[in-house]
Amino acid sequence: MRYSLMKFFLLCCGLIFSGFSYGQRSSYTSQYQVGILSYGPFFKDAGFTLESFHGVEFNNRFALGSTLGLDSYRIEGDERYWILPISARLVTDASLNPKTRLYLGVDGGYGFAGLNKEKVENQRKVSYEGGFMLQPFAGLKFKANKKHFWSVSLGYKRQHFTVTEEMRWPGGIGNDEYGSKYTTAYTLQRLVVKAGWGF
Amino acid sequence: MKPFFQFCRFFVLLPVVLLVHGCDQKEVLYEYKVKVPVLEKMASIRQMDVSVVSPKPLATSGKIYLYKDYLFINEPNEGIHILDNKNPSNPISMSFLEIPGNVDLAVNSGILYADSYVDLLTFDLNNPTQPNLLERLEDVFESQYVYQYLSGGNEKMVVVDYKDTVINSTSSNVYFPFSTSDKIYYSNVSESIGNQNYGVGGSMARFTLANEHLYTVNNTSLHLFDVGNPRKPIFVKDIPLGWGIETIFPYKDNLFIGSTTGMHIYNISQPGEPSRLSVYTHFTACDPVVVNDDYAFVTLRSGNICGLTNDVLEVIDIKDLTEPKLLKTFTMQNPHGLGLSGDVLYICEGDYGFKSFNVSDISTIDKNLLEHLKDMKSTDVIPGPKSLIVVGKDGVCQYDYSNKGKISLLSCISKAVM
Repeated sequence: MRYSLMKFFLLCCGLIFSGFSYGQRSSYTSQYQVGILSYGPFFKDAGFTLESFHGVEFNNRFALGSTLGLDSYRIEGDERYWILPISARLVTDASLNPKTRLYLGVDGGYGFAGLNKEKVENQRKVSYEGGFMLQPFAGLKFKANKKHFWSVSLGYKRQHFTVTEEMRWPGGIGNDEYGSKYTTAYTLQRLVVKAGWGF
Repeated sequence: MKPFFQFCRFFVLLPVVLLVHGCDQKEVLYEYKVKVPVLEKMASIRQMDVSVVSPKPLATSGKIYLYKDYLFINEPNEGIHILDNKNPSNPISMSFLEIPGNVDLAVNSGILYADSYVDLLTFDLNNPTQPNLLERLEDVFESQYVYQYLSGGNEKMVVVDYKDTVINSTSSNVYFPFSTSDKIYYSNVSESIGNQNYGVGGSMARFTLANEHLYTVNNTSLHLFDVGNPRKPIFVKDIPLGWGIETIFPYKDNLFIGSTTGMHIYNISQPGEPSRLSVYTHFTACDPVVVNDDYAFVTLRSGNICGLTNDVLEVIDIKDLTEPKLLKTFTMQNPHGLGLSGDVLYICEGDYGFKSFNVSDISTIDKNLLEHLKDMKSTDVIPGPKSLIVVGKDGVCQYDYSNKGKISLLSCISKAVM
């Protein structure tokens, strides 16, 4: 089920990009951001995020596109885990004044966990699986010159991530199998503060 | 300045945002496989007919016993296969004696003694194809089932099997790094039973007969039965030996009892009052014992239960039974049972095959390997009068060992493919 939805999402991304060639009334836009993933206003156990957005802007009011990112999470104050999120983004903005625009948007996609290497040691195996990601956000764009802007934003990121730990007991049932399995499904919820640059 | 004010206006909302904090919701599913005992009322087991049925294929092989021209092969917890072994080249399966919970047996003067969980059963073997139940001594092996013989209300229950079971448990909590309160856990446990069945692990108990007494050992003690009247065994007493007792080997007026930590030597010239002569201690391992006049041969095997990481053959000087001394140690591969015939020692090496050594010179046993049959996976051996009987994973095979250094196959009773 999870993989079917993921395929559907990737198909949507493809359709969005395929729309570029027909975007006669629209313009290409992109944005690059770095930020902090924290549990709140203080940065204990904080991680970081990198993100690039590429999309099409329609009527200078809203944009549709996809994002590719790299997130680093510190979970329960313990190990650091990596997620590679790919998502669709819908964003709209409104002019506050000639040099400043307020923008609101949402990312929805899937975070891949393939960067976390599976551990197999002695009688223990640890594997990782990514999951769906949702990220609503709000921010400001400040005109830097005719074409480019700077941006800051605040958002909420919700990411599913699963850690599976299997253990084999010597002399236990089925020596070739892992006798016990912990499956820890996390729903990571973070405050996201980002700053970036785009055009 | 205007953009700056716009920026500040936006961040007026910041305190509101700061009130909202992130957290990790955590759902843990824990699955683990365990063996869950299957209990049966001992009273119900006693009411079952101990019946003789037509021969059936060998499913698993336990202890083997040779009596005159009859070969008895225990099928753990199921009963005993009885075979006519007049011609070891062609043993004929005669019948199967169904005894629930049977793992050991011994035969004395046409009387078969066999355990059935906590009871000792006595059978008349006048017609070996149709053993007749004479006597049941109840609860004499209770200490053997110390963890498996339980009170179920007014009745005693015994563990008759184990089932492979998967236990599921779930818990959930929320992690927030600034929280000082205890984590709240919600758990839910459920159980699902798999289809597979697993038998009880191999018993350490052994039977032997000497001086009109039946001696049996379990993990912790030596049980004595007076079989002066073979048809009516009388329980005499238990002698505590310590933990890890595994095998018992009679030689002349002595009993050599192998345990995971050593070898106990008991004198039984007064059969009802065994007296301990000595205890030879070694590191923890599984250790069957065979002896001759001067030496005891002990194999120490590594394994999950046994706790040793080395596999060796020890030769112990027992000329003075009160002071056994280790003479030599030889590296083996995974030694199980062993048998001694004159100067030839046969060692079952488990999956590593079957070996024979000339032991006339104790100091050079390792240099006197006579034969190593690598394909012959073996766990126990009896050097019988007509044949060498070898038990292995694949069944029970008999060999002509008139040429002790080069045995030749006579017959095999293979296990049925289950």
